[in-house]
Amino acid sequence: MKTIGHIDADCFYVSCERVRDPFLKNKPVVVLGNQGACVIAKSYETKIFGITVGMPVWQAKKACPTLICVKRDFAWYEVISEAMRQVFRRYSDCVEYYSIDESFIDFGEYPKSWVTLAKTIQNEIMEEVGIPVSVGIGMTRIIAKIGSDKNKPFGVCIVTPKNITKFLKEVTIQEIPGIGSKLSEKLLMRKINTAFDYIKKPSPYIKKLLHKPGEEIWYELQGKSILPIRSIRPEHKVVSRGGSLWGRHGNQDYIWAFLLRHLERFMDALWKQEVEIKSIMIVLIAENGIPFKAIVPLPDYSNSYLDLMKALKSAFFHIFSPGTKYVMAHIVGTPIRSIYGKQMSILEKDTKSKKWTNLKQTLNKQFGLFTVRSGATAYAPDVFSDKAGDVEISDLEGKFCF
Amino acid sequence: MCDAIRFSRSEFPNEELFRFGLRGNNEDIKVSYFANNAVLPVLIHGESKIIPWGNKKQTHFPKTGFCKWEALISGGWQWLKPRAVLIVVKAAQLNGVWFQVKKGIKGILVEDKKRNKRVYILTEPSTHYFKIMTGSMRMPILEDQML
Repeated sequence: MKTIGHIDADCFYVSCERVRDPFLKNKPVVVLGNQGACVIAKSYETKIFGITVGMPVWQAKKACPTLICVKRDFAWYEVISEAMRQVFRRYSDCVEYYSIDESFIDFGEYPKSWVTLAKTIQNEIMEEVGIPVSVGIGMTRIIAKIGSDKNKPFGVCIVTPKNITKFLKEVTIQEIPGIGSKLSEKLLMRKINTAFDYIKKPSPYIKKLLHKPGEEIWYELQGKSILPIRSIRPEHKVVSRGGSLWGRHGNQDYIWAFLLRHLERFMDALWKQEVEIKSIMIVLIAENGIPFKAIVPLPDYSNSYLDLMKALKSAFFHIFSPGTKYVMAHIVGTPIRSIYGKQMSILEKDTKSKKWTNLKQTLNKQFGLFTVRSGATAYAPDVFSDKAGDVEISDLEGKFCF
Repeated sequence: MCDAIRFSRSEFPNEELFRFGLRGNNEDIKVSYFANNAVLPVLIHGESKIIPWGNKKQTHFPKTGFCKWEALISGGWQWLKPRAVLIVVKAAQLNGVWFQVKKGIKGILVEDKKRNKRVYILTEPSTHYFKIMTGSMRMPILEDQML
């Protein structure tokens, strides 16, 4: 019988901040994103004040006047996340990076006490990394995941063949991973209210209703492990950079200047991940929330600044509409492939532009991401003169950021 | 700019705290700039001191709690012979928003002939982030921290 664990950090971003600033302990704390405008993470102490993720900062401060706001630092959170996984790897080679604050561990067949195992991991993470975690251990990944959420914060939940029935009767349909609100409604209409009700239905019934994913959940809830723990992260399928335009703007030159800033960050991501893209997509979001998109395929895979800028410009002028005010812009590159393993051309093309690109990269690496940039960025002087603008701490690999 | 600050009691000797009426058991001390006895916790040559925050009453010190960085570097404060100090707070508040301060806020210490001291918080134009968070066009200059 397999032993699968799910470890979920409690209030992860705030906990990470508390590791390096103990002053924040036991106080209501929020982490702000979106250029300081809204809450993206909160501590348990904020619960009684009704603070929620996504709440604007002006509303949060009104609800809790003593609230302390911290600026998000994804690079730091990734460091802590990796420190946690290093502890997990002492127990198994099969550790899955599910998200920055959640991991699965496949312990194989673990004959000793699961309670002791869970508590040992919890205490080691707390002592060595400083992060409180909740642990769920069960025979399958879905059971373990539900379990870790059951007794938060700093909780432990163990599900064995002896107590699985009692456990499933206490799990609502909405708590099952993979069953969203629409599917929940479908099941509730059929009087399937709990995980126990779910497994009592025959498998063909569930498969007809929810297809293969639903059937997989059915087996997993029964204690039959069919969804593997993946220790190798799947490769990224897209690279994306973008965000707020710092207000509502209708000026073409300003928006293009801002897009060039996103492009610099986008290029930085391509070079760091050592990938190229085959097409580039631009998304402009108008003030009424409507997105406008354009995709430009490239002649070949590329990570050349000049190639991508040309394509981006073409896409931008295609969708930009004078008179419309825009609030956000994103650049998405897909499909992507590694720069290695491609067949090199006999004829080295466009060496001049390559030399220019390499020089620009070297200078920007040393002096700041936007040190050498297009002259068109002069139309957004406030953006490029902002002292905090150079420090792009939200640009973490694989993360869609503000 | 700041409306209030918070600092840790345990980092300062009691006699320093008591001199300015900062008694009590709370580890977390809050001081409002608008209070009559507004003070700032300061590190001067490695020593922790509590010093009055700017000036609200006497006329020979500038009547404010803040010093614009632009005014300082253009020589506007030269006559006071200001000295750089670190204001060792853990959090600061502006327009109702408390924000984390990791190492401290930069300030200047000035002294008159009678050895009365005052500390002023150094300020600069706000970054976009700070403007959005607090609604303020100016912000305190933080030590080794960018908001």
